[in-house]
Amino acid sequence: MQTFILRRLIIGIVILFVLSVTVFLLMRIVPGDPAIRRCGLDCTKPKIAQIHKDLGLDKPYFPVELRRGPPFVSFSSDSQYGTYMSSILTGDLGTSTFNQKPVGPQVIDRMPVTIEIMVLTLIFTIIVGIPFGALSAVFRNSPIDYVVRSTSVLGLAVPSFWVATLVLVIPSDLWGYAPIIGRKVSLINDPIGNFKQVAPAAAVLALGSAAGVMRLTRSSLLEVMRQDYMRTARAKGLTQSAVVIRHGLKNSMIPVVTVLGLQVSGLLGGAIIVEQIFTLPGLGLFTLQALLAKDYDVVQTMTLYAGATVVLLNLLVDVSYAWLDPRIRYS
Amino acid sequence: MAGNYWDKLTTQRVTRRRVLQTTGVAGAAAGAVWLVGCSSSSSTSKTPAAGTTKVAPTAQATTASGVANPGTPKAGGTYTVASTADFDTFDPYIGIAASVGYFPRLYNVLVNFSALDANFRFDDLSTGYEQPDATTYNFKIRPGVKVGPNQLGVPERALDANDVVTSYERIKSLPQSNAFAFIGKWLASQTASADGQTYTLKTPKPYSFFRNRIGSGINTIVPKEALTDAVIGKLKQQAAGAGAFTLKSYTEGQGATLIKNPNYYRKDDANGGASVPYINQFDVKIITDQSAMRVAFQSGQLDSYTATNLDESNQLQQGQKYTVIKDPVNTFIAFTMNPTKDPWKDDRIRLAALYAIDRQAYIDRVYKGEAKADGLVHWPQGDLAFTDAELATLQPYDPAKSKALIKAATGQDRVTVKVMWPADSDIEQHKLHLPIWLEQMKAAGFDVTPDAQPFATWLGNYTNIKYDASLALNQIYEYPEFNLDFQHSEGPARNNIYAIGVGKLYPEIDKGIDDVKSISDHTAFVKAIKDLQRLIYSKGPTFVPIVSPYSFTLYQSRVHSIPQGIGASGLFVNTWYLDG
Repeated sequence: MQTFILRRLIIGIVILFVLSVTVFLLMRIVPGDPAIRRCGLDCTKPKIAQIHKDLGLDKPYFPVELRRGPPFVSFSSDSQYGTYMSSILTGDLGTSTFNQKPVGPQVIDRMPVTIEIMVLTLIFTIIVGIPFGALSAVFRNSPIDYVVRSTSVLGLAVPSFWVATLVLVIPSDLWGYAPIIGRKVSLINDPIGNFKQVAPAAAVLALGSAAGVMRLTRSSLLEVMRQDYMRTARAKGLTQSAVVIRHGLKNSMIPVVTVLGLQVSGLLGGAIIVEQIFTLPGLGLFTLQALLAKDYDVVQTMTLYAGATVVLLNLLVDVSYAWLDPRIRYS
Repeated sequence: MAGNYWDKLTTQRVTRRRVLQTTGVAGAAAGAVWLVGCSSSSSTSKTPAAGTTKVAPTAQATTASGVANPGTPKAGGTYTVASTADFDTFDPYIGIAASVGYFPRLYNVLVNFSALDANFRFDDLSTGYEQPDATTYNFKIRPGVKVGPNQLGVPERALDANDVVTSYERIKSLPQSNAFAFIGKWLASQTASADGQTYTLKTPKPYSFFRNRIGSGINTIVPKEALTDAVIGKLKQQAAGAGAFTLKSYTEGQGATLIKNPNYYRKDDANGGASVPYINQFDVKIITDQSAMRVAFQSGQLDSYTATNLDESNQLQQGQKYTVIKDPVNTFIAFTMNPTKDPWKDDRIRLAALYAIDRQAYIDRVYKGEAKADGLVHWPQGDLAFTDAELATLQPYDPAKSKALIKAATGQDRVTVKVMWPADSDIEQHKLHLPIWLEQMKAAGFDVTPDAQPFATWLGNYTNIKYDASLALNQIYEYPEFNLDFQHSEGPARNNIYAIGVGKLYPEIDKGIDDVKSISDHTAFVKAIKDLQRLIYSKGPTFVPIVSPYSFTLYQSRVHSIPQGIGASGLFVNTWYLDG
């Protein structure tokens, strides 16, 4: 197991390196100059050049660069990527090119909101998706099954931004109610207020996730229920609920856990939408704003963060297989 | 003033809102604010109509007499507004985002004049000024304009002329400052008297727009202790000033809380000399989505909201008792042509584009009748703008004439032109303008090759004048200086970026633009502005504003005595209050 984890971590580092290079390059290939945003109406070319210098954007991209003519390769001890990576490795996530504030503290400030949304979304997904998926499987081709399946299709079909807008606008138009908008309510000082603020966003995100989990749980459980050991369990006199919950559900969870792991990484993307619409000051909104502002350090940091999250979650998912199914061994 | 207020920042574009969102009661923008891609309409940019405050020059205290929902003032309460853009800094000389709308709350200016109401004057740090000659301004500093409590360690002392000198010196040292176009270019010299009670400013030559510039929120006076090297960096998160409010807290991405400055000098003479501001706290939330902002207003979380259009305003009003203020807005979408590129080099082609625009279609379809046609100077500028009747002569909608001009210029029935615009502009009005404009250009003989670009790309190309023509910009210009500078060969900021004006082809236009800036007499000034516009019309303008709308700002019924009719000057007025 340790060797497996170590190998996966090494592969993860390689993936993150490739990701960092790709994002670094893409950000610079896409047209647009962050210096211009900083510059404004009174902008002049010397001023843009000065901002480039201040931001280190006048340096070569990489320590090693290929050239068309001799000497074909040039080396630089002071490159944009080199500076960026050395900063990252020393714990400095860089400085926002837009607001000129360190990225690290800004990420830390916003992280709790996003984590809350993701955790709540995951909870909603699990407590809705798995039980209803199981119900649907157990009562296959019954009205319950039809309702659950139809609902899950609907949940998968409707886009979250549309649902989010409805969730926000309809109660407001009908009853003048809205969750607290525009400023984070402290989880510690006001847990109920905090829940009221974050829960609608999490519920919107959970809609699609729960629908997917519901369908997967149903199909996976149906598959498991056909297995010999399930028949054996029934034959030895266990109740239907004990058979389903103790033997069926656990064994049907491997694909569900895999999907949940992938969904968690997908939630980072979803957070961008709901944080924007519900005006929750989390990492999603932060990333979106940085993308539009071509805020290099922020986008690079957030991409690395998302990448690292995906790598670690996938590792956790793989490790959890062994717990869910003792037949699985990593060696 | 020209602003860097891009910001819309960006961020806003995320949400389709504006750089300066509702900045509070009588929220408004600085002299010129660029809103491309930021968000839409409403917000701040409202610059009210006919002003109502009538205060004699050098009056010590000015209270807006044009107020909505008047009543007997009460002290206390928290006023909550939203901004789509975040605060980028509390340094007024480099701020470009939401901060700009709050500098007048935190700091002082020498004096502020409303560009919309010639009778409105707000003597702030100075009690008045005199002009011994056309280029010299002697300001008498008001005693007792005292810095409020702050976390920067700036003593709670009275500001004096030395603070003005230090502040303006800093602007002069910052070419990237929004205020540099004024202080950097028009401040020839400045001195403080030995006792600090008189401040003297000299301009290199008479400057017609001095009254517009001197009171801008981006020229506000910061205590000199806050401008020292040791402290200045802290202005990113904190503030120290002698304005009506002090900054209590700021949380990145979430908002700021301003509280009443207990040292604020001003009293409400109309209410027995009561201390202002009446409210205790000013809460500014960052809400980047328009729907969320609207919902927050409907649920009572915000005290004001600027509707995107009349329909939304009416819809919100149903069954409610909001106070709605309808104001003209100094904002417009414009069509910009590059006279160094074909076919725009040809006067006839530029005129053909001018005559292709049926402004009534925008008024009806975009603004439901709640807008008016703009000339080269937009209509909210009052007597500096042409009347509808005059515009009908100077820029008639006449597609047949457009076609004839195209034929005369090219020998062809139609001409192909490449036009860029920001494809992801979050300005609602821009999205609505675009199809109408394309339709009208086609009908007038133009085959437009669309060049829709991501905002950042568009901005880069626009900045560096890498375009043949561009449709965009949602600008807020509280006075016509920038409209005219857009026709100048050196562009709106006079540094060869953003646009090349028709002055490139006709030096007399450049000269006219320069000359008009030094006319002191108002009557002569108005005449010169109009004559200049006529000259530009005769040559084919390169910058064509389309229409300017009205804004509809809704206030909760508990907000009283809302100043109106004075535009951005309303940010200095603090006699509004909350009841309930």
